[in-house]
Amino acid sequence: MEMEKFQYDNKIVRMFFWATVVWGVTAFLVGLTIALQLPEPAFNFRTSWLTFGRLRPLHTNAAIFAFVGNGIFMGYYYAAQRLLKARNFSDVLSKIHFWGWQGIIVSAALTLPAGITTAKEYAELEWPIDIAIALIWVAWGVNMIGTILKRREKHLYVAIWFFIATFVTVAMLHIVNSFEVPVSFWKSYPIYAGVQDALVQWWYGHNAVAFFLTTPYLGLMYYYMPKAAQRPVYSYRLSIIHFWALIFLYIWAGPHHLLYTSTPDWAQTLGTVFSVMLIAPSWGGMLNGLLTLRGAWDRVRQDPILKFFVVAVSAYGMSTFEGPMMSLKNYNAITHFTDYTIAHVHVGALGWNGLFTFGMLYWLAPRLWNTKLFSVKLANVHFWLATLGMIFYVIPMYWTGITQALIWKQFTPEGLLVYPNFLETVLQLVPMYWTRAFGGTLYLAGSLVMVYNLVKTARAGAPVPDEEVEAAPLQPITAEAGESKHRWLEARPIHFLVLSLVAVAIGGIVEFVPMFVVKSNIPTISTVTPYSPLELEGRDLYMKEGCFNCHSQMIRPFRSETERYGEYSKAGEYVYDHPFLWGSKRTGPDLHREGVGMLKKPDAWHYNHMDNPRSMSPGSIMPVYPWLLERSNNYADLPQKINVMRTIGVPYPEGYEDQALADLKQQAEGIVSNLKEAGIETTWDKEIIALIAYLQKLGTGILPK
Amino acid sequence: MRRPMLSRIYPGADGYQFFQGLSLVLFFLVFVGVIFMIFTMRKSYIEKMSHMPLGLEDDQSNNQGGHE
Repeated sequence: MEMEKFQYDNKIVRMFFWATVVWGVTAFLVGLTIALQLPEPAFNFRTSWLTFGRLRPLHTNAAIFAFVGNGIFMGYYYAAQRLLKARNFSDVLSKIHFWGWQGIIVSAALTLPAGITTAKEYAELEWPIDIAIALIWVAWGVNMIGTILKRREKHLYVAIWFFIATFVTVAMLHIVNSFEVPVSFWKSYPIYAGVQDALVQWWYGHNAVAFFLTTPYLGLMYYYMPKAAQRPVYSYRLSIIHFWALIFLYIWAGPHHLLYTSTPDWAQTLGTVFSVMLIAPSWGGMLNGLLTLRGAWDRVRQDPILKFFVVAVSAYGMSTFEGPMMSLKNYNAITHFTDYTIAHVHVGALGWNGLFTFGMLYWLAPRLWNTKLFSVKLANVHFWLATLGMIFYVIPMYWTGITQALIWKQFTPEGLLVYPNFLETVLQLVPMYWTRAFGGTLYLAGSLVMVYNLVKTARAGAPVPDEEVEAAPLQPITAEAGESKHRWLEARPIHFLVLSLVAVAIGGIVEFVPMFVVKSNIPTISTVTPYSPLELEGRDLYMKEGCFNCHSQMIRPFRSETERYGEYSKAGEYVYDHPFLWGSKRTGPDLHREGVGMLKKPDAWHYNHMDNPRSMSPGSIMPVYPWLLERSNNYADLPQKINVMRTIGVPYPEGYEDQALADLKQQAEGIVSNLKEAGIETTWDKEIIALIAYLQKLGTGILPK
Repeated sequence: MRRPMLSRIYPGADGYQFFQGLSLVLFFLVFVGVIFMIFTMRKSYIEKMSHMPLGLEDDQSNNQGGHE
């Protein structure tokens, strides 16, 4: 058969290569900055945009979408062209994909520290950027499907299935979770509220882990592990089961982020059951990866690339065992809201994604510049720095997580809390926070060693922008006698794409439809009222400053929590919460009953506390917020906010937008006069006034003020 | 007595235990079907697919890991 000559595009791989390196170092640096702020909040330098609540979303977005995102695309563009024996469908689309993705990252880096956020974890970017993400994602998808259609290899290898599933599922998750109504160019409210918003958000949030941090990397594992080991995949049969079982089961597991919350029990149970089942495909995949090294284990001792891969896949195995365990209610009662979760995600992020990416970078560099790696010794140094960094990071975090859970729940023989003051529990953890920052420093140092090694490698070689190859053209696809069904499917990419979409859509539909159509899931509470205009503005500030990153608003039905915070949280209390602000971590105490009962404090307490938390709570690790006392707000967006809230179902009367500002001013003057009695002079338009109004509203839905 | 889960999600589902049984049977059949399909695949095809990443044309620069 006559062979066709064509070229692989290595330039796009190189572009994503450097983007991965640059954004990786950035993500680690931001992570270290906020890790230092936990034991010593002065590291925010009294600057709003350097404060934990704003930088934490920047760190997570940079790690997930910038570092791992570029890593996915780098690995994909190299592997897919070779597995499909075709150049990318369109070089223009490749470039649009690259520059569009970097533009999105830069806009995230500018908006998140500025406090422009939707307050939904891993989906914090505001609506104009959401639209850009959808468009750029589709550009990648079109380029991928186009390449698949013009391929010269009849059958689609397992890595390609994982890329297809990643594309369709992330598109579905992103679109469904981003239904929001704009107030202005940089502000929107989600159409979902409270419990429903929580369910949609954690369906998205969990599957961002599944289909952004896991499935594309499994695709990369199935290509780069055999490549680096020079061994075929251990079991192709297992990879088929691995793929279909994983994508079908993963999508159901989201509600395990909501155990013991106000989400209905049936949804929590579904999340638990499917999470436990997930052990099977996850470990099947892990073993398939590790067993690919059979007969090549001796090389792991010498080859740093294989070392990175082995520890990465082992970390995948550890975190996918731990995830199902954390989805059991008895285990979750200990781990949820504590640093245990932080340790868990960092085994995945630093171990699985981080180390696998480093392995790919070291494997690709000599091939992209047609030379040898500058220094294998330095790559080994990096391996040990990264592995030790990870250990110094996660062990203290497991320790703090278990410590938190135990001391939160500790009672005296008389039945009183041993640590009634939350701050006492925080102060026990400070040494561990320093150790975690040390681990992060090692990990960052290792990545800098890698930068040096990769730059030296690139300088020593010469880039190969277009790699000349030849392959036989694809013959027309016809069904072969005796062909198995899956083999048939592997030759038909569009059928494959549709079937993948069906597999991932089932779980979401089964969970969402009853939650949205059956009213009894969220019992109405007649005393719960919409936020006043001032409280609404205060709530927006709460989101802008990222308070939900450290404070939950979800009191679980445990005696240790009702003793500490008051009555447990009810689904009906959140019906006007667009978005829900339950949080996922308690670095500080829960705030859902902050405005009522034993937790209620005078307005002046909040004023002084925001100015300098240590003045009211000696030793507190909460950052200072002096700018809230100084900044004024002209509330120009208020009428539009009321209009949008009414559109999405909050019962503000028609025409209320014209009266809202007067009501806001009246309520604000009340707080100003309370403060004056305590000797504090301020004006009604200061940001702190709105925040105090919101904090005093919390919990009043079911309890008297 | 606790009611079946579907009835607790959707009270109108009380007479529809049939669907619960059906979904269990469907899940089981799909599972058995996939296992059957996997184990009846041709060995030569499995061999070809497991070796696919090792295609040689892009590996002129193999073993350039630079062992010092």
